[in-house]
Amino acid sequence: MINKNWEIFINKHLEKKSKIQKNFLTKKNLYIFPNLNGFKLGIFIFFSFASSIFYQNNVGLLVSIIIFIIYFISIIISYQNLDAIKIEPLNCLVPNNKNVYLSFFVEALNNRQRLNLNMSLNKNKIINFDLLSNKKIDFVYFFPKRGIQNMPQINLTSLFPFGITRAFGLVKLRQKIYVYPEPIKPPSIIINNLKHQNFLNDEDYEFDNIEEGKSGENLSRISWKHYSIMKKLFTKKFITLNNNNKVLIDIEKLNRSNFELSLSYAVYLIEYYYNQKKNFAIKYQKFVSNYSNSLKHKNKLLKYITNVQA
Amino acid sequence: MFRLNILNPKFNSYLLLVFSLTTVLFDINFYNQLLFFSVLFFSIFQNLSHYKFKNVYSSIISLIAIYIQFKLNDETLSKEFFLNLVLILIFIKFSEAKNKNDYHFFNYSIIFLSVSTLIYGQDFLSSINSILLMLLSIIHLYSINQQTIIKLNLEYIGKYSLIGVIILSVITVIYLVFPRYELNIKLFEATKNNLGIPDTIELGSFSQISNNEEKVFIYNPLKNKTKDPIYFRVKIFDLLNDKRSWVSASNKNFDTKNNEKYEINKTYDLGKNHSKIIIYPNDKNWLPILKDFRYNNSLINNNFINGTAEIDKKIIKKTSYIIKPKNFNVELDNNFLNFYKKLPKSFSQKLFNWSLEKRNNSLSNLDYLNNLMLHFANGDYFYSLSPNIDSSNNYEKFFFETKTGYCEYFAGMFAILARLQDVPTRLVSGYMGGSYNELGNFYIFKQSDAHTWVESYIENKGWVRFDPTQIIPQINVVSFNNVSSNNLQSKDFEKNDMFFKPNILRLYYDYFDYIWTNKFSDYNQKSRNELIKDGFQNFQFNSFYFFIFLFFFISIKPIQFIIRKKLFFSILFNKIRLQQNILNKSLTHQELLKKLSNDDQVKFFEVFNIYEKLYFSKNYKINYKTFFITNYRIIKFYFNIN
Repeated sequence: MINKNWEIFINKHLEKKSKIQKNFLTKKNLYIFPNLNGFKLGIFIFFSFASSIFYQNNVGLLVSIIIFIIYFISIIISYQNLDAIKIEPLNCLVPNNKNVYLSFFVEALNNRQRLNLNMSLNKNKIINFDLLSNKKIDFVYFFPKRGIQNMPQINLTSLFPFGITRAFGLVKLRQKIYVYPEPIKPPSIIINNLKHQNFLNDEDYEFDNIEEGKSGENLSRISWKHYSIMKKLFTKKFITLNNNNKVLIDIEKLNRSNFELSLSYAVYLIEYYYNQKKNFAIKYQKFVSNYSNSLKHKNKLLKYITNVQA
Repeated sequence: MFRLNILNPKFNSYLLLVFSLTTVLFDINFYNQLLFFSVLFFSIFQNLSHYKFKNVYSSIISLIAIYIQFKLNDETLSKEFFLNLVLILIFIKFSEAKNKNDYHFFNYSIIFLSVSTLIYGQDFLSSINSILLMLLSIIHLYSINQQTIIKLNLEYIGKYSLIGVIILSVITVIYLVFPRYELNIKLFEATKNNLGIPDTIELGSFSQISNNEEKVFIYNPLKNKTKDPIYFRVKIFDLLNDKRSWVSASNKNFDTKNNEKYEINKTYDLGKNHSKIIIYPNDKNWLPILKDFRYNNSLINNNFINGTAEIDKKIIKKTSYIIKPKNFNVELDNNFLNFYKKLPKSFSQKLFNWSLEKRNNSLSNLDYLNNLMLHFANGDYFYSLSPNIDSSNNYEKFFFETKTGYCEYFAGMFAILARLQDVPTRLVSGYMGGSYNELGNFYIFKQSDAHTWVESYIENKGWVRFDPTQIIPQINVVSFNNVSSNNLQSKDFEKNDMFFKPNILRLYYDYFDYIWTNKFSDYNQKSRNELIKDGFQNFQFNSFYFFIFLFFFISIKPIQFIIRKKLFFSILFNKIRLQQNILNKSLTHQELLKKLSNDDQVKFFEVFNIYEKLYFSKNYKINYKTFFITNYRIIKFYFNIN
C-alpha cells in the first residue's frame, strides 16, 4: 500500500519534471533514492553514529564515517552514471494490433561510459545494457488503436555501483508516433479489379531475348541483322510490361460497410504496390494524392491513413 | 571453477575470509586458532553444499563456538572476546550466504571487524591488514552487484582520483576536527594482562615476568646508543612488611605518621634535549621514567620524592609522551630518612651479626655498601632464572644456603643488609637494558626486561644506585635475561652470539612499526589543536605546498591540451577571414583555402589537409610531431612571424 502510494507520488513528480526537458535525462528529471538495502544501511549508520556519541566510542564513529563514505560515493557515481543521456526514437510509423519493434538511439553525452542501465517502456519489459558512447535499443510493443499518439515514456534505472542507491528517471519524447491500421489482405476480386483497370491502359513491350525462328511467324519480329550474319532466321521475343501503370486506390470503393476494414485493405494495397514498384495513389472523398513509388510517398500516405476520419 | 581475480566475487570472498582470520589469528592461543580454523572449514563446506535446514546447523555451530570462545577468554566479556565474536559472525554469515543480500551483510560485518581491529591493533602490520580488508570488502560489494568495470583510461583515472582526493580531504578534516576517543565499549571489561611491575615484591614474584616477550614501551633518546645500561624507574618499594615482602608506601603515610620534612627545590632546566617514550596499552596508571627526567604533560603527576610518574587515566591505547631532563634537589629531613631504615621487628639475628661484622670492618656507609657489592661478586652467588621459589620469603636461607636467585633476590637482600646497619635504602623496580634498533635509533623494552635494583641515601651525594645483580660474575650466570650485555664477555656467550643476532626482518618490522606509531597512531588532542592553530593562523602563501598546489592547478589545462592534441584551427580560420574581409561564416575550409593567395595556398595546403583528415576520416590519428608542428605554424601565421 505504502509502496503504491509512493510510486504514484514519485511518478507524478517525475512526469512534471520530464515535461520540462524532453528526450534528455539530466539532473532536472533524475532522482536518486536508497533502496531497501540502502535504508537498512542508513539505519545502521545512524545507530553507529548515535552510539559513538553517547558511549564515546571510536569504533562507531569510524564505522559510520567509512560506511557513509561508501554511501556518498555510491550517490555520486550513480548520479554520474545516469546523468546526461539523450534518447531519440528511430521509427515513428508502426501498424496497430501487432507486436512491433520500437527502436531507440541511446547516446551518452559528455563522453562518459555508463554501466548497468535498465531501460523499460511504460514499465513493460526491462532491458539491461552497458553504454560506451551510443547504442540502438529495440523494444517489442503493442498499439491497440490507430492514430497519432505520444511516444511511450521511457524509464531508466540503475543500481550502480554498490546496489544500495537506485537512480531513476523518466524520459518523455518530443516525437509523435503514427500508428496506422494493420494491413489486411483484401479479397482477390478487389485486387483483380484493380489489375483489370490497369490493363485498360496502354501496354508496353520490352525486348527480352532472341530465339531461332520458326515457320509461320510474324515477319515484323525477325531480326534481319542476325540473319545477315548467320544466314538463319531469328525472331525477337518481347515481354509485356506495365511500368507506367498507375494504380488508384479508392478507399471508399474497397469496403462500403466497414470503414476501418477498408483502411486496412488500403494499407495492404499500398505496401503491395510499393513492393511491386508500381506507381500508386489513394483517393478518399475529395483528397487525391500524387502518383509515386517512393518510400517518402508511401510513408506520407500511411501517415494520412493514420489520421483519416470517416 | 573461479578465476584468480579480485573482481571475481567468489574468489574475493575467500580472500576476505583469509584476511579477516589474520586480523585475529596472531593474538590468540593455539586452541582458539583451532576453533577458528574449524569454524572456517565448516562455513566454506556449508557454503558450497546444498542441503536442508542449513540455518539450523549454522546456528548450532555458532552457539557452540560462542560458548567455547567464552571459556577460552577466561569467562570475561573482554574486547578480544568481542572481536572474536565478530569474526565468528562473519564465518556464519558466509556459511548461510545464498543471494546478493546475504553477501551485503557479510561485507558490512567485515567492514565492522576491520574498523575495530584498526583501532584495537595499532601496530603497522595489523593496520595494513585492516585497511586491505576494508578495500577488499568494498571491491566485493561492487563485484556482487556489477558484472563489468569502467574502462581504465587516463581520463577516468584522473576523474576518479580527483573524487578520491576530495573524499580524502573530507576524511582528514573529520580526523582533525572531531575529537578522537579510545575503543571504549562500556559493556566489556579489559582482560587481565601481566604487563608492568607487581604491587609487592617477594622472593620469586618476577618468575612469571621473566619469560614474557610482550612489548612494554619504546624509548627514543634522540641521541645515539649509550654504553651505559639504561634504567627506567617504574615503582619504588620502601616498606618491608611483617610478611617480609616489599611494598610501596604512599606519600600520605610519610606526612601523617612520621612528621617528616622535605623540601623540593623546583628549578627546572627545560633543555631542548627531550626524548620520546611510546607506551603500549596496558590498562595501568604507571609510566616508566629515567632518573633526573620529568614528563612534560599536565595529566601526569611527577613524584619528586620517588622520582617516578603516574597518569590519572589508564593507558588503553598506544600513546607517546615527551620526557625532559630536570635539575632539582630534594632535601630530606633526618626523620624522613628514618623511614627508609625501618625493618620488621625481630628480624634475623644471624644476618644482623654478619652485617655488623661487615660494618665494623668498613670506614663509612658508602664503604660498607661497596663491601656488600664485593661480597656478591665473590663467586659464591649464582644468577638463575629458575631458582627455588620460597613462599615464606626466607632471606636468611637465600643468603647463607641456596645462594641462587635473580634480581629481586639480590636487590632485596642488599636493601635488608643496608637497613640492618641504618643506611637509608629503598628498592627501585622498573626496566633495564632494552633491545636497540639501529635503523630508527630507539630501544624496545619488553616485559622480560623488568628489573629491580637498590638506591641508598649517602650524605652529600643523595640517592646512589647499587645493582647487585650486575656484579655477579659471568661464570655464575646459569641463565641470563636482564644482565646487561657489557658483562657478557665469556667465550661461551660469544659463540652463542650467532644465535642471538637479531633477525633483519624483525629489525625492519620493528622500525616500520615504530614509524607507523610515530606518524599515525600517536596523535592526540594537543597535536590536533596545534596543527589547526598552525595551519590557520600562520598560513603563509609562500609555503612550499602552496606552490606545488598552484603549479598542479595551473598545469592541468596545458597537460589536458597536449593529451587531447587539439589544434588551433578556429584561430587560423578567423585570421584568414579577417585578412580577406570575409563576412560569411558558413564557408567550408576548401573555399577558405581558395581565398588565400597562391603562396599561402601552397604554404597551408598541408594544414588544411590535416584538418580534412582529422574531421572526415575515421581512422586518422594525429601524432605528437605533426600536432606540435602544425600548431607552431598556425601560431606563427597568427602573429605574423616569418
